[in-house]
Amino acid sequence: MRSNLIRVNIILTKEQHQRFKNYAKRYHGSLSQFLRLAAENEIDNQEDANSFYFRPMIENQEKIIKSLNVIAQQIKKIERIPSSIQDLKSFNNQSIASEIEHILLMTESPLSVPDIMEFLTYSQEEIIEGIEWLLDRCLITQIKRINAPSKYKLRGDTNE
Amino acid sequence: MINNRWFCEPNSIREPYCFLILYKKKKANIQQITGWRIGYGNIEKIIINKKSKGKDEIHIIKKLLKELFYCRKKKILIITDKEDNFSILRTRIAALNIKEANLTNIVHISLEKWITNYFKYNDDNNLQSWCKFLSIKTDDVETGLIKNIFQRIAPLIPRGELL
Repeated sequence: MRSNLIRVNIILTKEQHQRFKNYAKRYHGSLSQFLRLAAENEIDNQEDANSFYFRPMIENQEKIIKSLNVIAQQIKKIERIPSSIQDLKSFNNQSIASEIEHILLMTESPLSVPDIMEFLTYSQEEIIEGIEWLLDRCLITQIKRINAPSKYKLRGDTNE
Repeated sequence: MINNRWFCEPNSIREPYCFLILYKKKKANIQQITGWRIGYGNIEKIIINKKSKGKDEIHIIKKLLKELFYCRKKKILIITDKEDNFSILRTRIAALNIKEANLTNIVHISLEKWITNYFKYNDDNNLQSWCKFLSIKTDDVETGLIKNIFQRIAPLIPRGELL
């Protein structure tokens, strides 16, 4: 046996052995040659079939994998944001609160959340957190209204 | 709009403050802690009331430490009646050798300090006297009284004290 070849044992039934042997003798010369070729053909055909029938599916899969990788990277980035996000949030509330306070001081009239949102580019939630911050520190007072959002004015401001 | 309530309203059940009262008893010249009462809430109302009382001082203090840790975690400002509340608590924790206790990050304000520093008041330093002085009804629990006094005097205190 040549040095670049490996011997393998294949278990066959007697019938199969006879049948393969006869076929190989007729068309390939040896049983080994026939089985090698049969195995090669099987693999080639399978790969062709895969690439033909499953190409769209494989492409989709690759796209999904790419997207998942991008998401995983984004998650890693988010995880790197300071763990003291609470500190960051309270600092942010304080800075939004001082902007709201400034607006109330400049406009000299009570304003509701939608009114304040016309001056500031923060989200409604952020503005409300700023208002809560000011309310908790007694810097503004809430004017509750029926069927309308409350208005807020600086504590001590006598304008209605 | 649901049930005539607007979404763009502040959260009425927010808890930026913890109104704390310590129950103490003097035994053999040592101030001991016999209980506490806490009210979590905002300047308008108290949302949750918690209390602990009994004979087992260590158990009472450990339960209080849990609440104080919650305040630290949630950045809740503690408002107490007496200025010496935390010094008594520190003394008892040290004397009873309660391990794992940590008061290093606790931020608190005492009404006693505010009233003596910022008001012309020379009467007894207790909740009932302060309420009388400020014309506040005394038919609430102690934490409610602290909240009512705080609500009355906080807008009159220099800004830096609450920031």
